[in-house]
Amino acid sequence: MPEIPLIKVDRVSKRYGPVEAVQGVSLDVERGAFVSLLGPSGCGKSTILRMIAGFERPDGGRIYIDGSDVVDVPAHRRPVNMVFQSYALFPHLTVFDNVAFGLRRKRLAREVVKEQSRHFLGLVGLEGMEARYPSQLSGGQQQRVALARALANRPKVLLLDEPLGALDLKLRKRMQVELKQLQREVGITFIYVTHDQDEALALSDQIAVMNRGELLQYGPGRELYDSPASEFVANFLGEANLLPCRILQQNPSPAVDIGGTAIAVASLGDGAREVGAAALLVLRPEDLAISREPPLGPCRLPAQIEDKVFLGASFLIYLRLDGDIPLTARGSDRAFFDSVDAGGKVWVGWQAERARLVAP
Amino acid sequence: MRGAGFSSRAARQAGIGPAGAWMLRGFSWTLLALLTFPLIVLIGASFSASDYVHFPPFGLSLKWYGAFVKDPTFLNSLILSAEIAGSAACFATLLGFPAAYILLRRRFPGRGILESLFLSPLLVPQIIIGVALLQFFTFIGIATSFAGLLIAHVVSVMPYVIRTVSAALQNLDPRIEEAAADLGANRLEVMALVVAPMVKGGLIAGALFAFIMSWVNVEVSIFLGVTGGYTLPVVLYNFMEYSITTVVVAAASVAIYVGIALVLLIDRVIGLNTASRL
Amino acid sequence: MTMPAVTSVIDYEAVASSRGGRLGPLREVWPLWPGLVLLVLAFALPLLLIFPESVSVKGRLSTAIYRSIARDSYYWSVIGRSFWLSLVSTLICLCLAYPVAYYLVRVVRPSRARFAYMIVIAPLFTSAVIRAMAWLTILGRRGIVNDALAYLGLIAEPLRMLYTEEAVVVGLVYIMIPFMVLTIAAVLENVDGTLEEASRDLGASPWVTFWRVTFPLSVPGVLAGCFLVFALCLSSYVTPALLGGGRHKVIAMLIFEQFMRTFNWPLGAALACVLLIATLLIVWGYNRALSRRFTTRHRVAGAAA
Repeated sequence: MPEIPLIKVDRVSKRYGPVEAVQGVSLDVERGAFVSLLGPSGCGKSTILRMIAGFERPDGGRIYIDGSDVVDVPAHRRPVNMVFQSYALFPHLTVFDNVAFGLRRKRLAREVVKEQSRHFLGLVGLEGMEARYPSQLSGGQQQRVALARALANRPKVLLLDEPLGALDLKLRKRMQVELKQLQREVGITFIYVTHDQDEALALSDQIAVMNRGELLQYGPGRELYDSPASEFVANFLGEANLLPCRILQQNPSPAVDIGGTAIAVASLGDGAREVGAAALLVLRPEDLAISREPPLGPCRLPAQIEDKVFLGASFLIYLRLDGDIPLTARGSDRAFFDSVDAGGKVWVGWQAERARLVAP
Repeated sequence: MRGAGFSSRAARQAGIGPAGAWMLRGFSWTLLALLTFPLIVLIGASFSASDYVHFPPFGLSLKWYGAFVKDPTFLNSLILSAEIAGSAACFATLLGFPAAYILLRRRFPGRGILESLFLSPLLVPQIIIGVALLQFFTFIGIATSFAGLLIAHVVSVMPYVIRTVSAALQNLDPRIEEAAADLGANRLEVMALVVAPMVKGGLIAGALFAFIMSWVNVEVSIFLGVTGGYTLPVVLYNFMEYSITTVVVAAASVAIYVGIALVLLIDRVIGLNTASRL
Repeated sequence: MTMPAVTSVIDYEAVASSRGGRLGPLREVWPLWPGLVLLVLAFALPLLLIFPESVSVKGRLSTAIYRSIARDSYYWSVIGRSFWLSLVSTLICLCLAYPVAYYLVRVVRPSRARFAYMIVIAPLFTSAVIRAMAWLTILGRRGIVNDALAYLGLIAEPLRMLYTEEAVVVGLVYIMIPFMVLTIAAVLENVDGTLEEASRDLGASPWVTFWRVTFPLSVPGVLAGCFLVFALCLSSYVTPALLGGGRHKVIAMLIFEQFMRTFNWPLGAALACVLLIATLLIVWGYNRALSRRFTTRHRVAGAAA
């Protein structure tokens, strides 16, 4: 028997005045999953999170938690808890009282409250800090208190609104690892909002990419990376080369026309692909191979090297194809790096399965 | 610029030279001295040994303070004023804080009108409030009761609480209230457990303002005596229609001390710079 | 790591219908109700009931009282005196308070500022009765002013300063100066100092800068302060009653008399309505002044969420 998803967002929309913050977004969150809502600021990801939490009311659509429609349920009655971007700790309460707050609202026995609060403080590594006040803690510590406070309530879902945004880079990376571990240990479903694609890829089981209120693609990070559904997704997750092309044929094997040259592709992808229609070929920089002689295989184009940049662990080569199309390649073979120069004429090749077609 | 006297940045921006600054300084402090002068006269005269009011006082003595405390009319009025002011401050804060919070946080039709309504006792002349309440309370029979006087005071001073608390609430991060709701607190709990402690200063200051405004109120109290007495300012007023003796001045001085004490208290709680903005 | 057993689990309950429906908004704001009910019953309602009192003559609706007021020159003289005294007091107050406000905002040393504000606010915390008492003591026949003048040999006989219109003005000005100072100071703070710098940079002397830049920008606040003080003076009772000695009556004194001495409540109510309308007009002017576009509102009384 298929399990119903823990959270079901069904064609939800929200507008603020003339602005459509969320447009008909649907997604399902499985129990125990770590899902990220990824997108640039203003794309609506925080709005969806707040609608799940109960701080905003959708103008259209429904939201189901564990099968029940929660749209009319006020925030303090929902089995979800949120970790705010600014932590929103109660300044007038100690760390312990902050963490115990939700438990006390449930009228649990004092012993239980004490035990639970201590447990979760320990889980986030803050045992011994119970008597401190938020103002006495560092940013990272405050973040953990916010986490413990939310988790102590055993919510069905934990909502996190860019919780690591205020931390410096090193601390952020460390907290990412800890968060992932915590999620596995505690087993609670996490819905995580971020604009940082590295973070989303590192943490999530599933990523929902959003832009301008629309959900563009939803799936495991690898699937989004290898098979982006649109130009925006291709660009947003990782770097992408986008080559303008025209559909040449579907049979006997799919091919496109790039600047007059026929290039084979693995598939024409989903959606209407008529012969003659314009499209974009997505190529990741690390999938490109550069050589002096034309490589074997049906995917190759002549190019001219414009520049090369050494980045330490890898390097970038900037090329230009005929027809003035820029291309970026990434590699790590030092010998090769040294052997090429700006102005050199080379061939660029790739494997057909690595390329994807998206609509322009 | 040293030596020639302090010149603030703002003064330099405006181009006020040392001469101009000294003129302004002299004028202002003279006026400020004149503002305190009448109060000093009263306080000084209250220490006079004779019962004829004069400043500088003829001889020095505390006996008129003693007379004031022993006189039942004065003492009862002092107690009544204190009771009314204290109760009015409490009730005004209890009723005004939720009102200020809801007016600030919730959107609902008619919010603007309600906001004006809550502040309107400040705009309507005191004397008109007094006669209106006299008329109405007589009609419903509480015109000479403690409850009537108290209600009149609460209504008159609640706007002060609302203004003070609203100012404090403005600085509150709404996310913290959301966090409390998220953690399961219903609206009452959010207000009482999270918001109120965070605006403690504003609440106390509001209560203090309410207290002192009730304490000095005369044009409403003058219409609503309680069977058995009036508040202190009204008693003083009645005495003054006949003659002023030193014991009356002593009573007035006691009221002044209370006022000064409250200025200092409010300064401690929210600082007078904030207070003067309200 | 295992989770300790929890004795109570939050059970999610599905709340089927909406909470409140039509009544929702009213329920949402329930903490407001007690204060609102009190205000309506013990303030709005009594105020509204003044008017019916003023138009009921022997149990019937009639504007007879208003007509008799309009016809009687005595009332006009009282109303006229009230306006005149208020106007004079307001103007004197303005002239005295503006420099002090300017000083407090632009010149005063921060360490002295707190003390200065204390002095400005302290009189507000004493009753009007007490302040009037003080002036009775100062300006009386054997008060300190007469004593000083006699001591200096300037007068042979004590001057009669009390129970005159001048004494009332002195009393009113004394009471109103703190209001005016605080109102003007609040507005002056919002005048950007860099504008004054710019003016001087463009060649204006400090005095001209004041008259052409600073003062015009402060005018809305000045007007607001004047309206406020004027309204307060117009409706004041205690100061004119005590310092005017009953001979120079103002509106508020008439109202008081009708209610407490002659018990002619309808007449008192009619006079109260006249005063109320005058005050409302002034308040309207005050709001207009404050909303002028080049000044920011200096009052904080609930605002956008």
